[in-house]
Amino acid sequence: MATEEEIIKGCISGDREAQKLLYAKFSRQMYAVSLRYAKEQQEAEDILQDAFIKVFDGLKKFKGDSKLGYWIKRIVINTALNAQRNKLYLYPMVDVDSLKESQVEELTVSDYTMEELMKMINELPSGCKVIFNLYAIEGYKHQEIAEILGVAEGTVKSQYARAKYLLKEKMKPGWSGQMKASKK
Amino acid sequence: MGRENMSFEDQWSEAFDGAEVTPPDHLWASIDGVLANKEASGYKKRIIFFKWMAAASVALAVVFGVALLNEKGLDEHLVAGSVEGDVVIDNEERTNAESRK
Repeated sequence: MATEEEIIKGCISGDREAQKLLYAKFSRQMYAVSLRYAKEQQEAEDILQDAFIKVFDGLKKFKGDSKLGYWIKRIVINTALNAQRNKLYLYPMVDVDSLKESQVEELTVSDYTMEELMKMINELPSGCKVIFNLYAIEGYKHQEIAEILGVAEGTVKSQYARAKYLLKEKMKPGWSGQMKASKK
Repeated sequence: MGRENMSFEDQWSEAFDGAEVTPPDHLWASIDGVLANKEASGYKKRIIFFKWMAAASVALAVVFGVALLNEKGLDEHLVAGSVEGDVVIDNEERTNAESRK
């Protein structure tokens, strides 16, 4: 079985088998990332395709400073953000303080399957969704997200607060949205 | 740290850590097609480049050839001119010598 280094070398020299191996190794993980940012499946597929073409084109620049998977994930996220940049309506939505957290105890994240969590994220408004992904799941800081998206830090904070509020609402027991929480 | 003590963000981050979804099979075929097109367009560009190089070489060869022929022709002309001149001078000298006699 080819090592990661051999696969990278093969991809750089344009060996299609090596490119297929790299795709087979990372496509499932990257498709999950892509689905979190895209509005629909077709968009997620387009993002994944564009990202992998960029990966094959740019692999010669990969220095190995970070893990290959992390490097590819950044390309997938950037591709997703570029695809959505024109569609994002990012403006301060709400006064953060006005979003009082519900006193009703909500379920925890681990009470849901990944598909259910994915569905909850996908039901968020696009701006909220991107910021929630970048902050809560990818671990970027508010200021970094503001720089990436070219918006004010306050906008990022308020959009995130909105996303968190909406998700917590969905996680309340007996939430009557499209999705039903399945207690594991 | 127990899950109940984890922050909201950490719970979500953990839930998606290493998450995988299998993409549809046709996606690799599509990527393969794009890669093949790029490869073909790379060859096409190379062929065009070599065609231009060949054309430029022929053009350069023609230019050098013409220049060389011109130079050779000029040299021959100059040599012929100088011989003609010598003959004229010789004839003039001969005429002068005869008239002196």
